[in-house]
Amino acid sequence: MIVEVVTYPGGELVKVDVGSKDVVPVAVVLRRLGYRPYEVVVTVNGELVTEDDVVRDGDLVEVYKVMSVG
Amino acid sequence: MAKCRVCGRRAVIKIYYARTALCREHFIQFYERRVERAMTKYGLVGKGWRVLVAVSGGKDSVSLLHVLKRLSDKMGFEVLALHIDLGIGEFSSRALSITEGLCRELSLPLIVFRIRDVLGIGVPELAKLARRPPCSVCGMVKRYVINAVAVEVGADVVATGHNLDDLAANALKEFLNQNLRGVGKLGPKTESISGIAVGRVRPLYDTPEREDLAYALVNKLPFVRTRCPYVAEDSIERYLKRYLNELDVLFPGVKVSFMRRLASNLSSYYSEEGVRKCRYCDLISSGDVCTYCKVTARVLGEPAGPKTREYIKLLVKAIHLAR
Repeated sequence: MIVEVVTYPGGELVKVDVGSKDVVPVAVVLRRLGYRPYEVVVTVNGELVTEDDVVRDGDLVEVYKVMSVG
Repeated sequence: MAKCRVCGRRAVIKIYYARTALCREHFIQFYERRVERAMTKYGLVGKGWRVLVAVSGGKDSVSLLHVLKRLSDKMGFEVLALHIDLGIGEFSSRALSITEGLCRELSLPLIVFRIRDVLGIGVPELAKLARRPPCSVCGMVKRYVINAVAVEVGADVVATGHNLDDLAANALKEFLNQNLRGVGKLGPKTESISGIAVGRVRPLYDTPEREDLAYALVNKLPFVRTRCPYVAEDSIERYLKRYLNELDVLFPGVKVSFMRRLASNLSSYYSEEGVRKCRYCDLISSGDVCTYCKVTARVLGEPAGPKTREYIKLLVKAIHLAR
């Protein structure tokens, strides 16, 4: 499954290959992106989630890196 | 699936340093109670006070404005918002529209200061002419304007969105530079000096940056999601924040305990010696002329303090906020 992730700040779209499973934990997506859970906040379909929640095919995943923007 | 420590429902956030997880409702409660506790513990506001909140449109100040609005009835203070349009193209336009939208939603009065209206140029051009880094000029302009507006509206304090991570990284930076006077300014508040300076308060003093972001997201607050084009990618503060967060994972609570200890020890670092009034604008200065007047006089041919204060007077009068 390819998970489409929008990363902030910036709003860049990143495609993440998470292997053949249909459902993967957010933790897997973060690992593939090289983020540690305490460095980010994640929403799936607009709702805040922890790294233990899961991502399904077609979900909108947004990863917000914790940093000041200006 | 992580469960909320309080109610057992699905958790939306893990708070690593507290080794806990919370659902939406209990996270909001946790966040708001901590801000309220900080305000009480550090004596940041009093009943009937007018609090001017500096709102950039970023996650911290947007969360701050929201939580202060929620606490204002309970704690009995008034909230006004100030946004400074720094003239940084699309970034500034977006920040302004976000701040306007939020203030409308929260029914809060908003003062918008546009630097181009006063100086004819934005921060990037001013920085270029002054041959100083944009972030340094931006900080200087913001400090000046925030104080000038606060004096004009008769605010009792100015609240800023500086969070635990910002302040801890800054404190370490000042220690590294052995600027101990600078360390002394990183407490939860500074005092007002009659007629020339309004005290600053930092209600997010104990609040990690990550939780400001989470609070903005769970409340679906609008905030700026792009980086300022002038922000320094490799600033020392950024590295220090990263190291402090790694340290906080290894030694949970080290960050907040550092800043709380600092708050109780500020008098060892700071004294108000040398505070004067600027010859041109009559606001606080460390010398005969404040930095804002000095820089604008050098770059634009005249100190901009007096006309900035005139412009602010008109702004305040126009929205009937004068006291």
